[in-house]
Amino acid sequence: MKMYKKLIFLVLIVVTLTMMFLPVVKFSDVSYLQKQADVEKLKTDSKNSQTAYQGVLGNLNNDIAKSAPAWEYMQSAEPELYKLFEARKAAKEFCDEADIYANAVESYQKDLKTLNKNRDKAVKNGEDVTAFDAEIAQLEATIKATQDKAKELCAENIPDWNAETSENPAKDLSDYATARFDEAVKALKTAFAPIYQNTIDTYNVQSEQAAKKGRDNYRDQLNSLCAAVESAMADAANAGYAYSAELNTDDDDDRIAALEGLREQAEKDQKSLESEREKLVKSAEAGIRKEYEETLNTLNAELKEIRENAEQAGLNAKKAEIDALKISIAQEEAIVLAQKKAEQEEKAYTEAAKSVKDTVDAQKTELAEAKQKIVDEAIAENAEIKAMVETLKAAGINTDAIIGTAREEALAEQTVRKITVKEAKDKDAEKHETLQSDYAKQLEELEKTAREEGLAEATAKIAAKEQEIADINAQIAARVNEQLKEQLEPIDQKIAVLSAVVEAVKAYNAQDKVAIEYGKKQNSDMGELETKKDHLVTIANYYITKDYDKKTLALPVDAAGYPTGKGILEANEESVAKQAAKISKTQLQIEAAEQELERYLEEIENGTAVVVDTYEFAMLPGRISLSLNPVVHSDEYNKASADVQQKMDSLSAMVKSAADKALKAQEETLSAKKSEIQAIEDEAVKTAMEAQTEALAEYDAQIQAVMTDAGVSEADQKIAYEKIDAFKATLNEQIVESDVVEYNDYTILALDKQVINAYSYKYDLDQDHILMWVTAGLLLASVLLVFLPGKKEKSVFYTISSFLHLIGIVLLAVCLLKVLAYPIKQPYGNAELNTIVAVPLLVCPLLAFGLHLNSVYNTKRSMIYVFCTFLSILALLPFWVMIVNATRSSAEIQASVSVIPSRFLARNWQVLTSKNFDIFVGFKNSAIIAFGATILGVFFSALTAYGFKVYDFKGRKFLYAVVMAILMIPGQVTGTGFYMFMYQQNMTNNYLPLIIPAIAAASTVFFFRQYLEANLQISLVEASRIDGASEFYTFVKIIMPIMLPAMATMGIMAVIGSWNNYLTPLMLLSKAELKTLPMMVKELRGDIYRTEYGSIYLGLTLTALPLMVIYFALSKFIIAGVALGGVKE
Amino acid sequence: MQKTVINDRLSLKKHKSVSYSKYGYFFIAPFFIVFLIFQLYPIYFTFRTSLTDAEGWSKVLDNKIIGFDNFAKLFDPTSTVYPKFWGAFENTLIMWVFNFIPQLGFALILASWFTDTRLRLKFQGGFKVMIFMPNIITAATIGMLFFSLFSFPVAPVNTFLQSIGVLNAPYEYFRSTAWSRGLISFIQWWMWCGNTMIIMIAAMSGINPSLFEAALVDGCSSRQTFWKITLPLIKPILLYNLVTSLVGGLTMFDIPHLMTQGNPNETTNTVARFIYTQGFTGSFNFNMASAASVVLFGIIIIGSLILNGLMKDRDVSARKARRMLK
Repeated sequence: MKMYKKLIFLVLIVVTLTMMFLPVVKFSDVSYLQKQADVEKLKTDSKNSQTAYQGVLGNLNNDIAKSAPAWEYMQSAEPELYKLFEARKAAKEFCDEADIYANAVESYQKDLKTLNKNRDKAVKNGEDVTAFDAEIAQLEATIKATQDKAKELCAENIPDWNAETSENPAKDLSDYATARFDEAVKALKTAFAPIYQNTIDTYNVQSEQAAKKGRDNYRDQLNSLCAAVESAMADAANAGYAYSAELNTDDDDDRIAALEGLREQAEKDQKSLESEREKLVKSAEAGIRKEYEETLNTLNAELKEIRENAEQAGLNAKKAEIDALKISIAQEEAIVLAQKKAEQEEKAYTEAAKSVKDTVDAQKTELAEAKQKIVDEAIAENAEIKAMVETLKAAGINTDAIIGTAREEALAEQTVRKITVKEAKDKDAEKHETLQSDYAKQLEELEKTAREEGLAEATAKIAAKEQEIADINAQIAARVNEQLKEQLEPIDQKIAVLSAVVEAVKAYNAQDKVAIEYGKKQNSDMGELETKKDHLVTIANYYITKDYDKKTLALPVDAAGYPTGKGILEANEESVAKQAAKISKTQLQIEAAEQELERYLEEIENGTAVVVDTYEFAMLPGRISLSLNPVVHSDEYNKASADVQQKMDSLSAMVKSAADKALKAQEETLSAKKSEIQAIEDEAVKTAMEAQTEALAEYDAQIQAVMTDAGVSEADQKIAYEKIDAFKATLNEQIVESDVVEYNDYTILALDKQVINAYSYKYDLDQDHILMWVTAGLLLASVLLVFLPGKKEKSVFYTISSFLHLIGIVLLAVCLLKVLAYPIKQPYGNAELNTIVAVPLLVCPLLAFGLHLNSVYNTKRSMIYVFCTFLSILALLPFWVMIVNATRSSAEIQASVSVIPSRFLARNWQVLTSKNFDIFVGFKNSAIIAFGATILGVFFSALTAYGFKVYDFKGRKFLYAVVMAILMIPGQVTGTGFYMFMYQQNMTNNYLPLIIPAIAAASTVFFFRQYLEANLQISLVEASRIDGASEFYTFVKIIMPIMLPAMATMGIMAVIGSWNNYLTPLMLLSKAELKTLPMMVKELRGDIYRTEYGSIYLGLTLTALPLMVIYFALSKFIIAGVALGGVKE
Repeated sequence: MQKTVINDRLSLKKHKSVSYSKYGYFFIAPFFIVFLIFQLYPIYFTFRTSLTDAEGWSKVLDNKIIGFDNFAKLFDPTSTVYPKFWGAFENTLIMWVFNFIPQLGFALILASWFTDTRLRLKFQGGFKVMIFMPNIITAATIGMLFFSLFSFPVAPVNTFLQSIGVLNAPYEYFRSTAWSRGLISFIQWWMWCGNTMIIMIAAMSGINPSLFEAALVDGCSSRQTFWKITLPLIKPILLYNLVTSLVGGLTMFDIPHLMTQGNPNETTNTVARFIYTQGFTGSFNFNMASAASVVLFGIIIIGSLILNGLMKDRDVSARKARRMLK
């Protein structure tokens, strides 16, 4: 390595080492108090659960004790019960048979009826009835035959049966059979009654309790209700008390009856109350109505009076009115007279107006005439004027002015006339109008006054009267209502209370009924199930004990040899006791430790004594000298003495403090240990209890399952027996498993581990520190080795250095992984990796190793050794793990990976062979095929190679080329055709197709030919020929010995190849007894070995073991064979 | 006198050699008879069946030729067997490549180390024996062993990784395509690395040591010696190894069949497993199995020829070099 490389290498390693001792991982410290609290909690928990468990145990024992009589009865009555079962079965069969007859007869008779009907129809229709007749006859015969048979059976079976009196023997038979069956069932029931008794008793107690509770509850409520009723009404209260008194009966049915009675009573009461109410209402209504009517009558009378009065008053008023009217009429008459006068006047005026009109008309006509005249005149004049105008025009004179004046004159005259006419008219109209209006006014006024006065008076009077009547009415109504109310209120209250009572009673009744029914049903179900369970347990136990050795079952048995539930409990208790023993063992250890401590203290004391002795000894010369020369040495001695005294004091003080410290430390350790042990103990008890409870629960569940599935009827008994068998099997398995637990105490171990992990992480850290120091040492050594050497030893040092470096890196990785794994192992501790530190820590040594590699490449060897070792380990490790696991139990395999064998080989072997995995058959089959094929193959290949080598026949080269071509054909490609061909020849499930084709082994031929090419001299053959040997004799006696090494090599290869062949046997062989070993491997993958890991590995080991043995014994030949076989040029 | 004897002997020898050569046929007869019956006829049968409708047990022997329908199905992307067959082919190739490249690399490196006369490694035999060992053990057992070691949830690998805190929960390796394929490739490598190494060692030790000496004298580095001398000279064996490995890889059956059974999701199904499942399970489609066999056969032959051709081109120059060296 060059210098700068070395320096970089050094720097990298130094960085790594520095990083290693920096706090790479931050630990948050464990809270001891927290832990302690947890331990305390665990303790209390376990204590609680222990007491609970004791309670459960007590209950279970009670139950067992309770069921003891039933059990005894069951045992004593078992044959009887079976007999009864048999009897019931017989009766049932008989019953079925009888029913067949009865049904047959019935159906025949039906058929007969229909036939007869059809026949009648046919007769009516005039058809041929002979066929019907025949059929009827036949049917009748059948009926008769059946009846005869039934008769026979009746005579046989029914005592006191009279054949002559019987009309329908089949029916009789059926009835009799049914009766017998019922009897049998009844007998069975009675026989089983004592078994049920316990359950029934429990049920009775339970139901009584429930009933009592319900009753109490109900009574309370009823009492409150009664109180309510009491307060509402004395009667109801009395009734309530009566009912509550009635309800104090003890029986449910009575209670129900009482409730029913109460309800009925209440309903009745309600009804009667309701009718009473109705009556009351009716009577009240009648009375009130009468009263009311009376009042009404009086009121009416009053009203009448008032009305009459009013009418009188009204009449008077009318009279006055009439008078007033008369007056007004008179006035009117006067008015009428005035009117007449006015009419006359009007008439006169009209006449006058007529005359005026006439005159006006006359004047009009006159005027019209005059107008006409004027017009005519005007026309004439016009014409004249025109003419004149014309003339004038002609004469030249203006005519317009003349015409204008004439027109104006005419118009003025017309206007004067109009005014006069109008004036006359206006005068008349005025007169008429005033007259008329005056009269109207008068009339109106009269009317008004008269009407207003009379009407107002009458109306007021009537209104007052009506008011009075209404008042009276209201009064009456109020009074009536009041009375009704008064009378009805108590009745309503009564009814309400009673109806509430009725409702409550109804509801409670219904609830109670449902609850009781449910309870009854459940209890009956329970009872049935319990009985079934007991019965099945009996049967199961009976069969278990009958078939199984009591020792293997390992369950305690009772006097009769039956395993008991109690026994199982005892077994579990035993395991607890075992654990307790273990704990006591640990306590013994503690005691031993204490003793040791004492010894230690003694030692300290002794040490002190020694010190004192030494002191004494040291003092001795001084003393001697003192005694010799007291004066001279006095001071010296005193000084020395004080010195020594001081030293001794300090020494003893030190010793004392050290002893105290040690003692204290020891005490602490001791207490910690004790608490640990306590924790272990509690945990163990807890686990044991849990396991026990689980086991019990499982046991119960299994029995439950078996029982529910199987039932107890004799028809299902077969199924039950099967179930029992399965149950036995599982029990057996459990026993095997419990054995395992007994062997390795795995749970306890795990527990120990857990506790140790929880308390001793400090020591782990120390170990890691050691590991880290070792790592550091290794890395440093690798650096030193790089720097140290002179040129000669370079290679060796580099090799060692690189090894050390590699191991150092691996250890570093392990350290880091371990540290990182703390949070997983440690529930309280917490570790965090500081990435800034961790990255260089990981990268630097690797880089350094890269440098190392680079430098080592030049010398190669060291790295090659490392690499080859690694590859070798990689090649062997899986097999080693396989072999080791073959000796370990499933639990161990699940718990951890190990390279150290365990001691469960025998058990694994037992499990492996117990499950239809006959490895010897596989061995045998594989061996037959492998050796058969090998012998044939090697011999014939040698023969062929010899033929190709020695004889120069025609087509030799071509045929040899064919052999070479065959080499290249993979077997898988021709597999399908080969299989079908063999199937065609009916040679599947036969070893011949696996053995014979080995004769045509091209590679072996090739190998042998190569071998002969090198090792055979043709002169040898010629010599033998000269000596008169035949060709075959020459081959066998001379050539084969020469070829022996090659034949051995190829033989081994052929055996291995044939042994390992998987596909061809898989295609050809399907029978289980013909299967080869590789084919059997697949069976290990199946469900039967699902959790038997050890057995799977054992099976694999067994399939690999022969090859391993062959390989390690003959590896030289094999490797040589591979090498020679591979080099084909 | 002497001459006549010699002549006699010569004539005798000539006569004898002619008369003995016929025995050759007797000696090679068993081989060829068995070959014809148990290998050639099955090949013919396979070809024939691939052209028939032999589906199911009823038609194993009673079938009729329907032409190239089965092949058409294998090459028709819409048929159901197409993705299965070519998927299996792809899986096989992937697993073979990931096994073969490291296998050859490791074998060459190890062989060059073991044959290096300058290194003179100790304990060579032991390393060879140990590294070669997995090749001897039944493939079925190894498949099952690795299945057991890597199974879920309780198996040594998971337990170990959990105990050192690498994994928090067990991992299901055989649910992962990458892991399953990787494991199969690894097992193949692990099993065959030793074998290839032994063959390479044999090939390399067959090279004339004087060549290496000459190279050493000329100042060749190890690397140069390896690339310029060793590799060209072992090329034929390399070719042989390549071809056998290809054939072996394409017909890989035992380990996938026992370890993953083609799972997960048929991503570790191989061509040989395809043939087996077609012909010997399910509906026993012997015709399809035969057709696939024929196709596989063709692929193998073509592959071998291609490899042969590739190597030969370079072989010429190598031979020239060798001649020159000689």
